[in-house]
Amino acid sequence: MNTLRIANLTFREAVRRKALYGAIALTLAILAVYAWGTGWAVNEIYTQTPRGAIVRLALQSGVDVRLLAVGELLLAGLFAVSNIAGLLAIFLAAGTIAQEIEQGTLHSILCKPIARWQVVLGKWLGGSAMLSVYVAVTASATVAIIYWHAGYVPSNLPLGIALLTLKAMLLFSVTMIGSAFAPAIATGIAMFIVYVAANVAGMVEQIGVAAEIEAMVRTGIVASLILPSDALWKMSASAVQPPNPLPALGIKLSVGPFGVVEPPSVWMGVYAALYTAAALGLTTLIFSRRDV
Amino acid sequence: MVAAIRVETPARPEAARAAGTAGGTTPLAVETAGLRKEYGRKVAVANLSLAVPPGEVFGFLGPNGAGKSTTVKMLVGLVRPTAGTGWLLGHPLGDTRARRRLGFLPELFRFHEWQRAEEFLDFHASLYGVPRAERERRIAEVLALAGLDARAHDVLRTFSKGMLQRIGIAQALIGDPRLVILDEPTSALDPLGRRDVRDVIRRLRERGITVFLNSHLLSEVEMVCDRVAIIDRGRVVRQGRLAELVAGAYEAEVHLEHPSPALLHALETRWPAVHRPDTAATADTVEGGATGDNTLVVRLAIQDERELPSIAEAIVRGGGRLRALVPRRMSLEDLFVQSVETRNA
Repeated sequence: MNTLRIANLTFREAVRRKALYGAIALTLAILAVYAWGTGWAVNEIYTQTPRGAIVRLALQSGVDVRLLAVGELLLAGLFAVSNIAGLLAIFLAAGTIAQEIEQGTLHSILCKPIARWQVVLGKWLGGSAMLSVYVAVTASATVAIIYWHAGYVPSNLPLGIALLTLKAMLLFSVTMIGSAFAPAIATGIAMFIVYVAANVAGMVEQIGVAAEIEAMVRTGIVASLILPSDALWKMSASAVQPPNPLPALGIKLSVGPFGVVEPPSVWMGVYAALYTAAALGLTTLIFSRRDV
Repeated sequence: MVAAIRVETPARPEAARAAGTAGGTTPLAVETAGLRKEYGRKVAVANLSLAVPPGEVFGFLGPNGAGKSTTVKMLVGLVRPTAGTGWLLGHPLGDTRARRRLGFLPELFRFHEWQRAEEFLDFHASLYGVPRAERERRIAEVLALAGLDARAHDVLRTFSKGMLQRIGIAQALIGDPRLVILDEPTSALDPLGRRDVRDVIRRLRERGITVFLNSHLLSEVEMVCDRVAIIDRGRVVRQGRLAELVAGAYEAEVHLEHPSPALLHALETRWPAVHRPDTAATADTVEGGATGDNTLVVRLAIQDERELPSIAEAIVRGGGRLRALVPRRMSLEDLFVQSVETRNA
């Protein structure tokens, strides 16, 4: 019960302190630009004769390049959603314990009959609820915009959204570890660096797959084990992208910069979930020993 | 009666607690044994042993940096002791059973200021597990006690510092505690507000609630406390019933005109000086020691007023000119200064 009380407090605090209003306003602006831009692009894709040589070649061999282009537009939008949600998770979590200790608002809470793990879990649930709402709304809006312009429905939308949400929850819980012992700004910056590095390693892996360079692939896998955020994005992208015809032709290449050739296995998803739980456990362990 | 004896002879804590459970008497409200806290190489609390009997108002005193707030934080479970143990209401420190009956006003009274006063109290009541049906009544009760009934619907952000401290006290009382720990509860209050808090403390005592008051306002402690502990550099230097600590301690305030060092020496060999300005600087500079007209004020420890004539006699015999000789009972401030200075000497 106490866990849910803290979760509720965390969620309501974000709503009442209007901390996220700026982020929501900016997101709406980005979605508006996205809707306008994709409308324009889809119009060109479907009404004009393709000019590119590769596109003509593909059309001759019976590949629906138009669908692939639409899929790439969708992935571009979801890529933005995924990264904005990831950074929101990092910056919300960086302050969640640290700032409350600095300000002293935890003093009157922790002296009451409530365990530290309940505070950690409650804050994570509250943060996760916020991020879930954010991801669900923005990802659905992105998908709706593409459907509205091009009539494309992703094959496995719920799984795609669930994986993006898990990615945000993962980043929230990992960042909480830092928040349990370090100042908010230090944690935020450190996690931002780790996050960017994980994304870059994910790209290295993609290139490694395409060029069949084993060492690059392995680098990416190791990075995914250290922080499986990019792996979750790849799994999510693979759930919503149109079928990729290239591997059948013997080319291990994704359709565009946002697409995925070889998505991580389902075990990576399980690993990410366990990783999230372990991060919460570690946060509790550190916070329980922390002097407030 | 049993409780009283047990309290007066703080024997082994184990024995006291055993008596508390087996004998049906109430255990001590607060008890610590060798509590210690180190921050790196700095020792904040060295070896602190306290015994606070239930139902009393306990004053916890000490100079700045003596370890008062660290001690309080260890009691309520915010800070982990490096060594030593303690019990609240008979339960080990950190035990949720004790925290269920504990009210605490932190020194740093910062709350979630986006909450409305009643919403804030409702949240804290829920943490205590107060049933929803009962919360409304409790909230009204503590708001009235804190003098904030008119502000129930207002957001805490609009509160003044004094009002935040008052709502902090309300928050400490919302769970119907048996023990209330107040860390500097009047630091942001004006004189009227301080009087209100004293009234609240007295009302708590009437209801049998133990109050642990951490304060450096000696006059305030003197007005409400039954028992005090004075700590310095993380150790208890005095502990006991306030009346007993200051009783029997008499002093004579002697005003002397140009006293010779020999006379001062003679006086202080018979009656230890409680307070004397540095004689080298006697002239008229020492604050509280020398008055403008070159009169030196010395305070001597005496057993009782019957010693006053002997002091006068000794001064006259030593060729001194006596301006005034005033017997004084020791105040808490004197006791405090004496306790802390003795250690630092």
